[in-house]
Amino acid sequence: MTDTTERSDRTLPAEGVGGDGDGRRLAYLFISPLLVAFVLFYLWPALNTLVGSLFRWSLLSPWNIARPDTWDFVGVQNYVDTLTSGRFWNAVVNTLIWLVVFPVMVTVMSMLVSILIWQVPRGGALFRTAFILPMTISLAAAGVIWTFMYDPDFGVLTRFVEWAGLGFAVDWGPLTFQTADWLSNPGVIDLGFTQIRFVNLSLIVAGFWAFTGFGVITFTAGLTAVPDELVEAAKVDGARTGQMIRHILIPQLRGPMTIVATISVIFALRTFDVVWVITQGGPAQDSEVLAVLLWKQAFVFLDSPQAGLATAVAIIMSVVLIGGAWPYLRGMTRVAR
Amino acid sequence: MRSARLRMLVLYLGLVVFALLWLVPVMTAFMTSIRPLDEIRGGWWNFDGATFTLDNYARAWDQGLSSFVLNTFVITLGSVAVTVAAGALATYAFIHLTFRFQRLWFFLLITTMIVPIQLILIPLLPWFRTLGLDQGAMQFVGIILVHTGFGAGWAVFMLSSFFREVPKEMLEAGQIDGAGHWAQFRRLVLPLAMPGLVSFAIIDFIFVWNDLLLALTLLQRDFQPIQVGLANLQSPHLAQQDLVSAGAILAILPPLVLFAALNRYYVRGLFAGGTKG
Amino acid sequence: MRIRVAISMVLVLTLVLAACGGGGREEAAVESGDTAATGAPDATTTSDGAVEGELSVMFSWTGSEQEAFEAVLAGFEEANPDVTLERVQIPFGELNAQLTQQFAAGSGPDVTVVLPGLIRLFAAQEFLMPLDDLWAQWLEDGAYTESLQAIASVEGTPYGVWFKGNVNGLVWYTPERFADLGVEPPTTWEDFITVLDTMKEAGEEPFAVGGSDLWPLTQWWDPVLAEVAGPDVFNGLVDGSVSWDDPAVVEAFEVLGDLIANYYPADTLDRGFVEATCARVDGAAQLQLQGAFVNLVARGECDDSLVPGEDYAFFPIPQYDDSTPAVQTISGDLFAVNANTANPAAASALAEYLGSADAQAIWAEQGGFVAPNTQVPSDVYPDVNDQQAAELWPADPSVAALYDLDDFIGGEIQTVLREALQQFVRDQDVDAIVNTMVDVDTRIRG
Repeated sequence: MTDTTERSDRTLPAEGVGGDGDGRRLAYLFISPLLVAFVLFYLWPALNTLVGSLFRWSLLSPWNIARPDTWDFVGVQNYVDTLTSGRFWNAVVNTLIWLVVFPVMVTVMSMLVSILIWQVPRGGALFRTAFILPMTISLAAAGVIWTFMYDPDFGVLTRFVEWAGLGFAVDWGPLTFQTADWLSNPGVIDLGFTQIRFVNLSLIVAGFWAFTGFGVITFTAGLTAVPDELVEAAKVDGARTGQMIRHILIPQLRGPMTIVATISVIFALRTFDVVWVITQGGPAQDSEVLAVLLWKQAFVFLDSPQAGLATAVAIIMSVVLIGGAWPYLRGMTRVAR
Repeated sequence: MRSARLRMLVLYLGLVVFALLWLVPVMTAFMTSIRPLDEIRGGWWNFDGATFTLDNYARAWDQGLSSFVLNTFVITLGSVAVTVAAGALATYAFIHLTFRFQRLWFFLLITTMIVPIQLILIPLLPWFRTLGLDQGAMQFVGIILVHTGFGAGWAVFMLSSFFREVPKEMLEAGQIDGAGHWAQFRRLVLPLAMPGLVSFAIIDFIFVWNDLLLALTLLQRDFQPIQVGLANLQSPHLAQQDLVSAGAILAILPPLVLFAALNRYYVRGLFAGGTKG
Repeated sequence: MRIRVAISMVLVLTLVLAACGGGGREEAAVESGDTAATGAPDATTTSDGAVEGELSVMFSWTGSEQEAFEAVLAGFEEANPDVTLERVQIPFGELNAQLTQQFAAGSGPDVTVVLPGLIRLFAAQEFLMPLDDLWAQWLEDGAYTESLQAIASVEGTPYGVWFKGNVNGLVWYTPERFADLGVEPPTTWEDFITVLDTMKEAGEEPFAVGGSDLWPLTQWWDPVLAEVAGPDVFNGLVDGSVSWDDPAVVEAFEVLGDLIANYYPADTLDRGFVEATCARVDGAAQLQLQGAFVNLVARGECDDSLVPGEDYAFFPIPQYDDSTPAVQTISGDLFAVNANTANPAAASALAEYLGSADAQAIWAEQGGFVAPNTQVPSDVYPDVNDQQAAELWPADPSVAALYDLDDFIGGEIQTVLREALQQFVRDQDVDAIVNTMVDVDTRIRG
């Protein structure tokens, strides 16, 4: 704290001398509109959820801080039950597949596309629109559209594979794969203790399609900040395209890359609509991710009071992700003096 | 010279292939929306004896979509305007001012983005009623504030990386000229961070535009946006692919127009670079 | 310059919105004051027995079904011109979660469509208005049977009103193709199996199933369970008095497992209900075991030139064992009244109307509907398929009416059963599915 104050005093001499009180009041004027909405409509309900994970309750008779008759305190039992349930760990595996594959696909593809568009003299807006279009479709509608795409009878993908003669099936012990049944059983890697089911990849492709436009917009905004002089200098130096991208663009794009990677990680962790619309987590529980599991616990399993379990799942998800992102978050908060 | 031309060709070829791949699902929805269902089942790319009709649009529109349009615009434009304005102010304070609990607030804003929103919904509904936001036009104010609250973390997260790129020297020069923070915010930071603001506005627009759960849970029928109408088109034993597609295509248009209108803001620098090169 | 304009626009918009909001709040206060003042008188009927006031009704039909329901509601408005009906349409997939949240928060609609599983949960929370008088009258008139009342009741008190019925356990087929194969609609289980084997020998796919949507699999489980284990075991599973490892239940799973192993298509889990329906229409499969609503879907979604009765027809799934009593699996949509409605008179009037033969005849004429009220004449149905389905409706008290098992149980058991059936399609492992269900159904253990 002292460290930050010193630095701000140095950068902002006018405020520092005039009186810290004024500066603080001004700062609160600046932040209060956002913080009021945030505290009232996000933080407070989120805290409710956090505390709710220590109680047994359901949507029918929700845990309510103002009504002690709804308090059925169970301590950490919801966490114990969650961590010992096979269903939870199945959802963890499926979510991990999303967490590993989705951000990489989105970040690489949208950066590649943005740089390609950035390099062409004209038609950029048109190409960008092609990638941004899917973003304008709600994820639920995107799910419906991808159900058409994967349809075994008239789906584009199925028919294309047929037409191009690309159909094949492999069965190499623990690895099986086939270019059919995209949404029921396209294949699996059997690791013994768990299974990596490819139906998750079918769903990831749908999310990837919908989400790449976000990356394209962000990278494009970042590319506008690349000083022309840098690029010109590189051209004069005779830098080849590859070198220019590696040595000039990529370092310049670190900010947008962080944004895209972070937000796609968060999206992957919370992914819900696409899975819910296309498979509802099925067949059986092959594609059930954490957000789908907690949705079922809170909003579908109405007869058994499992909303407390759902909140516990949400808290565990959040804690793990915040823990994983800790070094990065610390860096961010420090920069935000 | 020849190699430059070849390079362009490869670039364009790559882009065309990628763009076409991305357009296939959109085409699927579009063709499903303008052709009778029994033709679609033979494959939409099959144009033998194809017939085209706008009938599905008329039906989707008549089945209630029309009554959601005004609400959608009030909610979406209001939420984005408030979120961007409040977000830009707050981000300026986080980056260029100091205040108590600064890091804690920043941390809370960022980390709560991770909490699955479905769960925040459960306490939100009774809370919404307690605050008296569930009646009449107050629902618009309520949902706009809820969207602002939900977008707060994203706003600060995305905008701070753009605000940070405003060179310190420019700010210091401004301070020496005696410009206050408000003047600096308006004259220096906002214009320089414009591409960031616009790209965040677009992202936020998408969030709000696509929201179904909040609207469904918090708003009464006469105040709901179009996503509720779209969801209403789906049924467990009628696929209604034709209607659903028509609705989805209709709902694409407003964001598309917005993107087209804002395009020049976030690619301004790019165009400048292009003409020079 | 442009920036400044943009900011001022944002500010102006914010102010305008705030101003509107302020005004809106006062208006709302006035409005709610009005209702509070006039709400109580509304609750009583006027001298001539008509009802008045505002009334909200929630439903989740869409497309042609929505149009048919609008016609039904128009009939109520015509008879009760002083009632202002607010229609609240909710996406089907969100219905249960939304209803639960709204009722728990005290803001539920006055009258709502609901399935029996939710009626049971809501009645336990005292969210619903008991409808004893209504049902006493209906039973006296012979409009409904006692087993239909039992489905709408919780512990003997009726809370639901039947509105839209459906008959399950129908095997849909194409008469022309049956003629080509030289088979007749079977009436015994042995004949049924013979027909299936004939199809396989002819190189035809016997069934289209649609297992990727989860519920079509329960359309198989219900009639198989009802036929193999009988009505008592079926209802015992519903109320939790029979365990899933009961020998009769295990036998039913074995019968279903044999059907799956021998006659299901290999890609059962890759197709949904509509694709399966169209696959059968197109001839990719010969049979589909489903409900009466296939009559509507086959025309609406696959081929609108189909002639009911000629191009497609059905036969009821044959009795598994002659000694078991006659059963009919059914499903359908009920309505219930909010216990805390501000306008109980109008709400019960609407409930009574929706359960009446007059109201149901309006939709029955439009097709794709089986009227649960036994007094709806069979000549209102527009085609032979609907008519024959309506004749199967358990209007005769000697036929046990068995409501869709998983919809009746609801909640976690329903979800787990549906998922377990998908797994069962893959492995036909009777022990595994029985264990899964015993694990999840804790009611019998207390």
